[in-house]
Amino acid sequence: MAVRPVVSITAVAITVTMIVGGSTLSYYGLAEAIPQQQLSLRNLILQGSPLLGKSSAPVTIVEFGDFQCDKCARFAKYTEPQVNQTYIQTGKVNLVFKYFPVYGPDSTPAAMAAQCVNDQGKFWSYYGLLFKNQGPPNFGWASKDNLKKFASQLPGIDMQKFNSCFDNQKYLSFVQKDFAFATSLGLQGTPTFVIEKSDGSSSQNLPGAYPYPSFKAVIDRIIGSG
Amino acid sequence: MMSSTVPNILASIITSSKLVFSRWPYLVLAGAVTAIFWIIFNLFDQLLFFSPVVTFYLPDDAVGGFILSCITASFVGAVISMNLYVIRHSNGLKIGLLSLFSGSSLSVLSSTCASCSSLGFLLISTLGGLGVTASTFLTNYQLPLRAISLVVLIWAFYSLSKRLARSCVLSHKLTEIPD
Repeated sequence: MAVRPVVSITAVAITVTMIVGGSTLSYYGLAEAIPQQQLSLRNLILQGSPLLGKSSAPVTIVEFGDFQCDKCARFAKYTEPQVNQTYIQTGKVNLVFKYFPVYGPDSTPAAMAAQCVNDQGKFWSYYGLLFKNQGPPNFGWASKDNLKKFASQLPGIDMQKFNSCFDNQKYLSFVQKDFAFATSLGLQGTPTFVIEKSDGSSSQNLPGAYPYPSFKAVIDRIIGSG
Repeated sequence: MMSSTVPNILASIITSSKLVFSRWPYLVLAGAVTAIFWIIFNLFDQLLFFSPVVTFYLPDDAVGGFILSCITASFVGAVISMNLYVIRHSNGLKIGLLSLFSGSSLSVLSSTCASCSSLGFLLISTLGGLGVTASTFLTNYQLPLRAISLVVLIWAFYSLSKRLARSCVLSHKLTEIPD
């Protein structure tokens, strides 16, 4: 008599575990290589995407991120400084940012503001500033007024130029193109990192806020492969 | 009245825990379920990675959630194991299927759901505007949701403990009844 409930409870437990575990694995997946001729550094620079590091670096990390995404902030606060110190400052790697505003209405203005700041060569300072001041998504921390306030905190920024760019939505289509590009690659969330040789070959995906040892393993393998 | 006092609650928890976890299959089951859910929660929270290298890291911003998920995983293990014990040793006693469902199963689902915010994009792409709202809600209230699911689990754990302890007392009294 007691066997049937035991079996059904066990079945429920196994099913729940498989559903949850399966969706986790399919999301975070084992790093998959995706075809991305368009992700070559030359193309990315031509498109006007923000670049950190030397353009001659043999390896490129392409970050698809959203300024409202908490895991993107985690990467910016904890992993990026280590990657920067070890690989970017030494000229082995460069980092390119692509906008993937998936967290709701305040994500696109934040992306447009960042691209306006990039016009003045201050994207990475703004990147750090936004993630440092990040609040709950769509709760006002990334309102247009706040985005302007954050921009005004950047040393040497021309606010008149920024306001003109931001208010006229100069980069709305640029951000939308980045979004369409990310979805065309089949990316399913932020942050997603594509690590590759600068010509776009040997690419590997890291979908999530992977810690430094993961980046190190992939970068060293790509560098080691010549 | 008496059963609601703190010493009695503690006594029933200790009694039932001894009763269930002194038998190694239930202890192993609780450990295994705890381990499985610990892994699932930490995969969702992006603290544990299996590829390209096995890595676990705990940044400052994740400490609160990590502590809650560890406690939740432990309670899920304990509650599932105790539920199984109750079922196997009920000997014809009617086990309310509803209470089982509202206890462990609901707790498992709710605590799992509290970790869903990482899958925001899937929600957004599937449900559009509603997905944005759901994703924002899950992200903004992740910790309170986890706390609520933990409260549900603690309640389930306490209910089971009380039931188990009561059944022990009942058996004891029955043996003392003279012919």
